[in-house]
Amino acid sequence: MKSKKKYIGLIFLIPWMIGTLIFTIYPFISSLIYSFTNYDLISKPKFVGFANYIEMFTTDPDFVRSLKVTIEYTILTVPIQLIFALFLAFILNFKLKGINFFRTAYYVPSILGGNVAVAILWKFLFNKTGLVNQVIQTFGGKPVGWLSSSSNAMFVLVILGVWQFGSAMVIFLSALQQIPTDLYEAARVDGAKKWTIFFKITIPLITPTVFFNLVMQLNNKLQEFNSPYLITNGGPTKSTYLTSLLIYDNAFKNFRMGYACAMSWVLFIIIAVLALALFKSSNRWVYYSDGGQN
Amino acid sequence: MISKVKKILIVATTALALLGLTACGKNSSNSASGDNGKVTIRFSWWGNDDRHKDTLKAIKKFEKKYPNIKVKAEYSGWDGIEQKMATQISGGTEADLMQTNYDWYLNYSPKGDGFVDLNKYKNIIDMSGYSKDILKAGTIDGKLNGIPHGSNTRVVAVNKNILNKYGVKTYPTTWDGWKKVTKTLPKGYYPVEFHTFLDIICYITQKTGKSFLDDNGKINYSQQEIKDGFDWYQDMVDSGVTPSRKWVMDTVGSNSMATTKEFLNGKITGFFDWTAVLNSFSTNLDQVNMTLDIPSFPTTENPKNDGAIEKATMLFSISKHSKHPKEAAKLLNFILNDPDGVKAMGISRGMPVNTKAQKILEKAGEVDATTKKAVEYSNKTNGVLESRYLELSQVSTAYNDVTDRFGVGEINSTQAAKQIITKVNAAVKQFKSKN
Repeated sequence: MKSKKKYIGLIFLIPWMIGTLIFTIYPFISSLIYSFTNYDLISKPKFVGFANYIEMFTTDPDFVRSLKVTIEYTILTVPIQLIFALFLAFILNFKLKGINFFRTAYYVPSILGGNVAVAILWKFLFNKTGLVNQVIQTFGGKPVGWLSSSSNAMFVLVILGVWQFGSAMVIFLSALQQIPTDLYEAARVDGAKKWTIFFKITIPLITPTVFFNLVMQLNNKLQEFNSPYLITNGGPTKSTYLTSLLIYDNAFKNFRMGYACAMSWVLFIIIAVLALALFKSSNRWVYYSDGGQN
Repeated sequence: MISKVKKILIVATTALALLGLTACGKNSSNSASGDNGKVTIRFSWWGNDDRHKDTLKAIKKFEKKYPNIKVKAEYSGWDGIEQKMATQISGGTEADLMQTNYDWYLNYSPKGDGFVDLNKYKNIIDMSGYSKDILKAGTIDGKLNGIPHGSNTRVVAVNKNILNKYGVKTYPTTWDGWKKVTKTLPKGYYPVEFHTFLDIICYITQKTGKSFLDDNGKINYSQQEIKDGFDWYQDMVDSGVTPSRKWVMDTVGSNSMATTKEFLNGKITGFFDWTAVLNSFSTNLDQVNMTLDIPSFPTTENPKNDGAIEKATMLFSISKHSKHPKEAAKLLNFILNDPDGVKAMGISRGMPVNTKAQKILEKAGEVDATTKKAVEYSNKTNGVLESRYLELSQVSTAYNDVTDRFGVGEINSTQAAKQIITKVNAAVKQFKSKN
């Protein structure tokens, strides 16, 4: 009877396993192999050793530059996004009338956030005569060239990245709701101020969630593709040319699939190392109320 | 009882999951050969809605004439078509007949054997309406990889109504003349909008009589000549003929200029582009009751030629993996030469270069005013045929990046000229290193 149950479970897993094999494991391994070749999608790949890896750090000015830009984008986006998400989750945790409506309303952007249509909407908003500039002008300001200056273009992308705070917010919200209310009551009885309660009780108890959100968002933002592709196309003068976009251009526009695979692997290693470092550091600042036994 | 229901559920879900997986495999084998001797071929192209409609109409006519051939159409816009082709060709699943761009042959067919040699089907495809020069654009190492549908010339087009409204009745024939026009137009109106390095190339071509790149991707211009080009461009910005690069980035960005507000309200009074895309501009202007006009290409002092650069456009190629190349050749001949096919295809790809097709279209009254003007313009303009390397992705990225840097003021014209040479050379060298 027991073995039969096992077998049933496996059957349920088959679709997932086939999907993973074809769409994750196979590309994972083949991209590693291709990264050591000069594969161009059309002719047979030739083995070139570490030439691709050497090229991206020596003769190609774009790769290191794109890494810098990607890290800049991530450093700007992730903290603001998480603070904003936590702030909103905190407010939406109050017991107010119609709070469920607001919870849904604030979650909607994250469903749309990575969407192509929103990126295009963003392009219109920050156009020379777009809504943002119109608002600035009604208050007597001068229209800003959002997409023609490097720092402004980066700002536009960061704002879109921050705007996708919904999923982090929902996770924060559920964490906030799990904090036992007796802790708050005890603190209040002891005469603790609101801010003290927030920093001494709330924050420590949700550090596991902060940690989870941080890893997830870091991972997402380092691979950001849609917004630079659709809004700035990497410009002006490659100031928003994120690594994913560079990889895409090399693979499908310049027909350098081998080189693109090598770059993806370097990006993968960077993300893996960062995640590992975060996990290592988590012992020091993440607090599990059950003692971290899981 | 419950376990029975469970079992049925499990079998059903598994079956469904497997069905989804096999669906993609089945499709491709089915399309190669249909039932009862009927042959199915695939035809792929890119374009706007009007082109899709016309091409589908032509396919219907073709299927009527050849009832044993079925044509499966695969069409989309330009965005993403290059990536789609790259994946299809690398997997050997490209359509039997396809519309290609002239620079693609560098990647897909560097030695001329990436596509079927169309010379083999001379008995099916009538090429009498094509000059040798035109067919050369599709020939690599003596093998005819593609037959061009049209030719494309760089053109300056203007909004007739706005210019007339502000008193410009006859168009200037020189760049200095356009500078004077800026004084009669109100502030914020630009008579000729520049948006790429190609527009600077036109000026240098006029002065030197040479194309930017030769057939092997070598730069024909000296650094000084390129520097002059950038200086001239800056002069055009300073005198208000064209808006600055920054303005263009903020206003047009990566959108099509034909749909921007500034073009439709006439602030971009004129612009640089290719003759083959003028139709989408004129249709949009028609909707706001204005007319697109084509003045003669402006000249500089002592021009060596008219300067408008030319390229072949929309070549038709047959896949070397095709199981039915003869049927594909029949379809190609039908859309290029058969009166029914030519009329159905219309001018949604611009005017064909095939003289036979031109006659058919003129007789049928299919040629609209803008296309007529564009053809007249191309005929009387003595341009220079550009190299395939001009629009190779690596190369165009290189010169566009330098032009942007110059446009936003990061570098001066001397540095720009130097960078154009080193970056374009590096791109060509990198491209050639793999072959």
